Amino acid sequence: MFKPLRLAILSTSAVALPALAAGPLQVESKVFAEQKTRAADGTVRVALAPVRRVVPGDRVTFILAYRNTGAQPIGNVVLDNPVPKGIAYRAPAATSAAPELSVDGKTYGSLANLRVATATGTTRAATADDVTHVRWRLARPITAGAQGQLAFEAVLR
Amino acid sequence: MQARKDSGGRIGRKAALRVVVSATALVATPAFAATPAGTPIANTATLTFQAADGSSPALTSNTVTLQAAEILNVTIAADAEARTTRGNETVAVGFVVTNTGNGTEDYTLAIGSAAAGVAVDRLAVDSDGDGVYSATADQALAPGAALTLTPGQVVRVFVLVDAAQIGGGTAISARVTARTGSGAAGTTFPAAGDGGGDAIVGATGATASATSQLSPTAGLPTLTKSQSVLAPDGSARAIPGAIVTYRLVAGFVGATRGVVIDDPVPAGTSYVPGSLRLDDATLTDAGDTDAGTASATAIRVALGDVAADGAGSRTIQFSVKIQ
Repeated sequence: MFKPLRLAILSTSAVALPALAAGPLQVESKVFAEQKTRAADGTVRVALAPVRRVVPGDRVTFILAYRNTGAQPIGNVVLDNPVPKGIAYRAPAATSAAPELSVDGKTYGSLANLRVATATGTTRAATADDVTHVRWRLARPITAGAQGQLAFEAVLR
Repeated sequence: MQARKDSGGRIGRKAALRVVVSATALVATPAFAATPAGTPIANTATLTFQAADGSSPALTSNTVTLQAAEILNVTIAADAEARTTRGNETVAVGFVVTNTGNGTEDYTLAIGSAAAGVAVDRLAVDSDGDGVYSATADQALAPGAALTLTPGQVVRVFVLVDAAQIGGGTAISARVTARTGSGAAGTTFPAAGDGGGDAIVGATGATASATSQLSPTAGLPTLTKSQSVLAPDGSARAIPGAIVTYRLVAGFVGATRGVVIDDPVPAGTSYVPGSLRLDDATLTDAGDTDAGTASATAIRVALGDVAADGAGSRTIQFSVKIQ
């Protein structure tokens, strides 16, 4: 089941992507998927590995890595990530701060406070499938040389 | 992906996997439509911050792109796990095939019969989708021809079986297999998927089977008699002068030849002239062109040959008067 072929795919997709820079602030978008590997003793390890290929139902993690390469702190940083078509938001990644969510790209909040209009003119409570945008507002300035990353888990529809 | 290579060399593996397939075929499909194979999934984030001059510039991240690979999945279900057949009718055994993958896929259908001597090479697709086989509306499917299904497409295929060949009964089996490939879940066929990406076998193993058991019904017809009484005083008492109406229901379960129903007029009663009826029609008492004759002593209805696909039952009715 675990073929050399897949290893080849992993190695090609691990090529670093160029980060765009605007002055001293850099942000890089990455996507990882859970890779299960079976050790010789039969245990299964789940690790995140960069991928380019997924099938419906696969769990993926979108990561935004930011870095202040300048000498001055940068404040009021907001990272907004529209959820790509075909992707359903699931949860904040384990290591990441929870993002604010939106179902329209305008109003942000926690999922429990979001509502979606229905065809009959009423509204219903939003579910994770309805999320169209995730956003993080950094409470503190990014100090010179500092870096961090934010991430959310999603699934391919 | 369509029309590439057949997985002919994998027969041995498939047989070994049958148990696995049936155990995993019940995995729930996602509530939302699967993303079609080959769809690029591009993610770009936007970042805004407060610049030194007080402005709030925005910048975008790089775009990271995933390609949705093709997942190979299929399910099949028989319209009926078991059904009875009558006489020498042609039975259309229906199987519903669903492409539960996310690519347009060619499937091969392999039909078999548990009993020997049953021809299972006549297939038709339920083109009009009404669930009933029609020789005119439903398109024939040549044995071994590809059944091409778009993602999520559901199609019913009929196997046309001559009931006269099934003897004491047989099981008709249908196995559907993705032509791109099948096998253990996770098996990857590089660059064989829609959009040029990989094709990966899903939880169904990209193959599935179903069976429908055919059994001939016992061919004996049935005859059930009942009566009702109407006395001159309006009651249902069997008193002199009361009219007794007999009702004979003949049931047929298949083609039956030379059917004749005789019933003597009971002693102590006299036949009420002109009371003989077959289903909704009155029959004359005379021995003429209609099926019935009646005399003072007996009635007779000659139904002749009852076709296999004819009415399941015929009802004969006549009345006598208690002397």
